[in-house]
Amino acid sequence: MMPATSTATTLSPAELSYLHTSLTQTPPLRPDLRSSTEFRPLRAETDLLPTCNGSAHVSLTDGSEALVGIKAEVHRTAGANVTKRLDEEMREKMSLDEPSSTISAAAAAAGLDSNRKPRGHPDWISLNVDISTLRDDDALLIFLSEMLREPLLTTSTTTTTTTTTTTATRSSSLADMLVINSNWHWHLHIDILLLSPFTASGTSYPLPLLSLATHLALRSARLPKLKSQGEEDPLVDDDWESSLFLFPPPPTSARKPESSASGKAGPNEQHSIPPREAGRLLTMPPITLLVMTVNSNIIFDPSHSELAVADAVLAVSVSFSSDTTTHHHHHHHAQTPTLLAVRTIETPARDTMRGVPAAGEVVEGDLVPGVWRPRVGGVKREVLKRVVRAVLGASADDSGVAREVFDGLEAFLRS
Amino acid sequence: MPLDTASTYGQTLLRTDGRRWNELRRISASISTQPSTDGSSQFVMGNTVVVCNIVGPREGRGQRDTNNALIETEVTVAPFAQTDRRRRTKGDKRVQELQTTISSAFQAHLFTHLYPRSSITISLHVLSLDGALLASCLNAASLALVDAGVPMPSILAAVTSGVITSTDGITPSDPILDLNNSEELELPFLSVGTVSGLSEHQEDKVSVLIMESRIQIGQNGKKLEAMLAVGVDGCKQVRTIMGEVVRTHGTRILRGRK
Repeated sequence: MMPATSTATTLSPAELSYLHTSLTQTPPLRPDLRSSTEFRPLRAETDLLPTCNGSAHVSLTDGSEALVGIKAEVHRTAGANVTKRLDEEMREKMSLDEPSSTISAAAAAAGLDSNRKPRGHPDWISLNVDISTLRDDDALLIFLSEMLREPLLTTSTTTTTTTTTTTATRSSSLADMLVINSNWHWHLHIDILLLSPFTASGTSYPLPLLSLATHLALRSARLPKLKSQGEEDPLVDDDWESSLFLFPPPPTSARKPESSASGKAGPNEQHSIPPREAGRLLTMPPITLLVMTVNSNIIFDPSHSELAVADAVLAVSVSFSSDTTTHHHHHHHAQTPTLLAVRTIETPARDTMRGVPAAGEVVEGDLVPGVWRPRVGGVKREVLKRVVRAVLGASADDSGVAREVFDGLEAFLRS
Repeated sequence: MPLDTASTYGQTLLRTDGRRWNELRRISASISTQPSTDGSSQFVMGNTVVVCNIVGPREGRGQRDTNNALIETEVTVAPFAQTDRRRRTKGDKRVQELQTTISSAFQAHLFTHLYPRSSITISLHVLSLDGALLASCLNAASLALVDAGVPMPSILAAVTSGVITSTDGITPSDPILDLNNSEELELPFLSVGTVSGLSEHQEDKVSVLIMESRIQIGQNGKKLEAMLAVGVDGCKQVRTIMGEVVRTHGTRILRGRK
């Protein structure tokens, strides 16, 4: 359980009860008249800091504003040979454990691949959140930075079902993309700055804002092109024009003129980013969405006052991938969201004051309609399932909120 | 070979970035950039970018002054502000000194007696740093305080100035205005902030003056005096630009009201 979204709310029990009642309606009646899956409008710009490999600035209508800068440094890989040997051992184990022909073939392919390029290490990505009003060792800062860092480290093994066969495809994690050769790697420093003043009782939980800003910064991040090949010590090209995107823009999207640099390099050329062959997954950085539930209603991107009456607050992390082998009729669904994690965050509604009914005190545990009582208990499995379905999309027609958010962000990058 | 100002300046009278001795870098600023604060500004001086938010005047917490408002300053230098990443913790001595300097400068400058038992919090974020850290922070804070509507006699403007010491002894030492990061590393420099005099006939008053490098006072060339003169003159130029920013913003607001 994560620490509370905020320490105390300034709302009275009567106000809380009013908010709670309006949010339990079908459809929920939100204070700013948004629909349950609607996000607050946001403004974003990317690639604005000249001294960073990638940067993004995102601001919401409530005035909260975040800036993310990503810097990449070349570091020597510690114990390079050890990781390689472990990797080989793992490959042998994999092929022994799984006798199924298709899977072992895929594993062998993955193994061959890892033989050529060693795997990445989670320590190569450091993420640091800075909120000026909080101490450096504040629990909220530590939890926020871990919640933002964790989805970046996962290697999801996605099973894609094509028309005839089921193949397991290993999508490479972000750390794997940072490998230069067995002795050298890139180290990513992701520094997140909350520019707007933060007060625990007056600002909405910054997690979704920081997550979206990090996503955009990673999408805009470029690494200089390597002149060195194979096991040579890294030597980079001075020309920033020829730098390569860490996450190349999806092929279906219209490319910006400067992004054509990644296309020019050609897929088979030796460079820092693993070449994308057919059948590999094109992954995109994850997004963490904040979802709250009130009774059976699911509400996305809750504002500060809405959070105050939440039955449960969930942080849902989603990654995106597109299979380059998908058939043409799938092309409008190029980015498939994959669930990475669902976490519960302590709701501030637990710490609120109980309302007292006009008739006077009632027996402990009795429910008086319209009178506020602090929320207790967790979240029902059924509701959790609906949250996941709402995020990922239930069917081919219903694309899900995650895809909508992704497409929205994509528009910022393309404009 | 890295270019240095001292060896080439004597021949060309141009600094490494092509400026003359008394030229400022490009300055652009805007105010009311953050809707959720009482006052905000963004100040860009060359490659240095500072964002400032003001919270207050509001009821003070903890230690309060019964006669005046207290000014608190928080400075955050982003880890990605310079070419090499460097993270400064909240307890960093240099940052704390910077905070104290800015707080005391505005404590003396603003009409704090109008807000007894209150506090004004200046929160500064340095997003990109290429010299003139203190000067840019002071300028950004000044503009944000104007936006917050805190009464003050004039706009506090700051700038850095340095001196190029001739190596051959023939060419005279020249004071230079508004140093960038590489010049700051190489040359002695000072940060100076001034406020304009009470009437038009009075001279500007120096309210902040910090110098961290060694230099001779008085003797041959009067280097310090020259630096100070150039600095005070530079402050006047910066104040004109800042005043223009405030007026432009005000005009736009008034036009919107019609």
